Amino acid sequence: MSQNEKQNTDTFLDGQLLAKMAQGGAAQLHSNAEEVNKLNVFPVPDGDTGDNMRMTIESGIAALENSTSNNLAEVMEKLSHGMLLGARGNSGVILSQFFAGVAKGLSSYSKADAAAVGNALSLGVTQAYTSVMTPTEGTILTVAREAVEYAVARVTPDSTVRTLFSDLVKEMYASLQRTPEILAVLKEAGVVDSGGAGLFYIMDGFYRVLNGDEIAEIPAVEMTKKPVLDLSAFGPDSEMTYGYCTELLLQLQSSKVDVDAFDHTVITEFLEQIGDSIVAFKTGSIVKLHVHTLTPDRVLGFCHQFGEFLTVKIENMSVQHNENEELRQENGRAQRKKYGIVSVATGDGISEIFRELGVDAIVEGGQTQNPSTNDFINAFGRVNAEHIFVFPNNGNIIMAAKQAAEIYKDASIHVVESKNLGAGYVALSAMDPDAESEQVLLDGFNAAIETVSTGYVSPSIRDAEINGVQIRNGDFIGFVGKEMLVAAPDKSAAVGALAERMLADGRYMMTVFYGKDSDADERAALESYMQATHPEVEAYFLDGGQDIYPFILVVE
Amino acid sequence: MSYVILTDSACDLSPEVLSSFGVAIKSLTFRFTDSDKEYSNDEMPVSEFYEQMRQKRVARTAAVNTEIFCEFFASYLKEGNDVLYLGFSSGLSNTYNAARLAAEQLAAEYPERKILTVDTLCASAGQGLLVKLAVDRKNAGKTIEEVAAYVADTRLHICHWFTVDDLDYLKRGGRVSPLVAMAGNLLGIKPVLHVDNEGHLIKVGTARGRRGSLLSIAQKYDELAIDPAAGTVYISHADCRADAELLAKMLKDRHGVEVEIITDVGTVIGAHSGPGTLALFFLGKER
Repeated sequence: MSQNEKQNTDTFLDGQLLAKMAQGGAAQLHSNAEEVNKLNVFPVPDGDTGDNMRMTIESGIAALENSTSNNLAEVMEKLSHGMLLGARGNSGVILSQFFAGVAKGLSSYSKADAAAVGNALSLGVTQAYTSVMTPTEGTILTVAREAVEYAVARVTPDSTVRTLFSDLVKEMYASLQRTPEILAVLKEAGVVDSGGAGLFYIMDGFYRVLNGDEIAEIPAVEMTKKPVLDLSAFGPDSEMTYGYCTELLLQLQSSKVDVDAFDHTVITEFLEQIGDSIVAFKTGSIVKLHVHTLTPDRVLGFCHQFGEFLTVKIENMSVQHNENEELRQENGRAQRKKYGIVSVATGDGISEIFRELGVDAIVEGGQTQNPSTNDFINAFGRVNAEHIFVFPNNGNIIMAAKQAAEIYKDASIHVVESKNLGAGYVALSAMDPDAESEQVLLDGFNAAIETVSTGYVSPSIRDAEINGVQIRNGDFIGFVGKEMLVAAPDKSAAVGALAERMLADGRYMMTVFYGKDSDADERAALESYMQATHPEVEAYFLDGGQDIYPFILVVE
Repeated sequence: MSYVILTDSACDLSPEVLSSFGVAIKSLTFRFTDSDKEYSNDEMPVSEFYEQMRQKRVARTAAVNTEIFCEFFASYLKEGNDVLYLGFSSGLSNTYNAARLAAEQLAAEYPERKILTVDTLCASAGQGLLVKLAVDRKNAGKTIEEVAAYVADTRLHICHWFTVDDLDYLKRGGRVSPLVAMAGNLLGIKPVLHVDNEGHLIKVGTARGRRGSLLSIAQKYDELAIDPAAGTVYISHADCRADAELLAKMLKDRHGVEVEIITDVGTVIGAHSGPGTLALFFLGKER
């Protein structure tokens, strides 16, 4: 490397360098994700912040694949767009919004010096703050803000991008260590803020690249679950009845069409003649397409006149289990309904129960596997309705749902702020397909949420004292929201004690979701306990099949 | 001129109450689908009837036919009485229509007698409540025409709010659409229904849990009752007396009102709505 080039690398941030730094950030977080997961306020094995942030930045990296541009603004825009779509969990959404703000700040730079990058980082902080309804200090927000303020204040005409990131990372670490002083729950649990830690690892990776450190290769990550294939389902004499599930990303090409003016309904109209279950939308210059058809060759041929394919997936639906399921559901809703429902659910039992309650599309995920913004967008695409109500059923998923609602344009999306399974379950019972207006339904859902309290039983993964409850590693703990209520060495004792606490003050109904980790004896014990001690309570016992929590109690 | 008020067994009033009112009834009949034996209302105790239903025996009801009404009415006409028949909702049964045809047939035979029929558009103790109000007017010296007019004017103020344990019974009897039944039959979700201005059963909403459905019904009372503290209130129940008393207590706690009659949902209504049906009836601003 010549002196001149070295100077250049140090002074200016360009597209290729940013791409490398992002790789470094992702790699650094990847190596430390498990540690970030463990920074969990409750001693429950459900921490996911590390995974959420890792998957969010990896989605940004995936968007940079095959990009050879050295234009900073272009690369930053791709990175940030990929992160927006891939954002999971509240920390992932905040991270993606931080990068979106930075991208705005750099949108007119083909390369940028320390001052410009510093300004862009400040914009990132502002956008991260505005993405949260009520910003909480002592979190990723504080860590980002304090570090950026510190680094920007130290920018001089002699600063380089490397010195900027050196200051940034140094202060970010210090700020992270201060989070327990600001947020009592962190102090009580003896941890630093997990989102802040995730951001630190990413920025640390950025800095390491600038510093010339070796960065580890990121192991290839499977971003989406592989569907179950049963190849024996289609043989030499099979008849093609289901057709092919055909999905593609089409990059519109200026050489073929007027990219900005292109209206994708041209494609939709064509597809209607040769297929069904059509979902198509255009984001920027890319058209995303999903169709079930007997003639995928015609789909490709038709679309090819407008651009080139980024990805193409064609699967025979006779061998593709998930798609058959989807097809079966889709056949039932050819007509555009007034109201549709998308709900997050985890566990076969819970998904089935939610479907019975009228949910049109399930977004897989929950406590340990938060769905991404893009997972929501895909689910919206599977629901043919004027208004779509979204039930995130987890406080850490609400932001990704809202981010998806912002991006999606083909229906009016209403995110119901259901923060747990019980809230979603009870609110869904207020669904009325004949409701006068979406507002009436929203009011009903929100009123229903208010009446519910949801308690979780889980094994503890460490000793702790929370809310004055003494917990030993391996105990079963029972908590409602952020309130730790009971701990006991015995699972049945814990669930009984939790039920007692929750049934105070005249509650009259309890629904229990049995998880994978509760056996028949424990279930029977709970049922007879309820009958013996609370015959006045209407109790329902459902097989939820959820992980982690052997029992979830929903009390109304 | 003296007249009698007559009704049918869908009014769910006990023989004692009916006799204190001086009102006679004709009974709709039922049979179980696995047998040919036809029962009238009083031939099987309601507790046994609901036990049979819980054992999955399916009951079907039959309307009173024109011939029986002819005999029934004629027995009073012969003695020189005029007849005012207040019939079970035409939206739920052909019974009223049979009575109307009987009245037309008898008009030629008894030209000097008045035979008036009014479709109450009511069911169960809602019909019973309307009969009671009519009897009050009659006892106050109102003429048959005045009472008939009163019933016609008042019937759409008789509120019927009820819940059932299992919507499948109503679905099986064709009283609600399968779609409505499906949406209201999930675990822990209880339907809230009423009888609309055409005398049909309508599912209005759902509530969480049995207690939630009782609360919804009490809220309807809060919202609609004309005289919430002192109006006449009837409750009928299909083998769930404790819930009926709980609902009565809710109303008393809220308004100080004493429920006048808590009665059984008889076999005619019960065959369609099933054990666990709980219904509240009162005079309201509208149904």
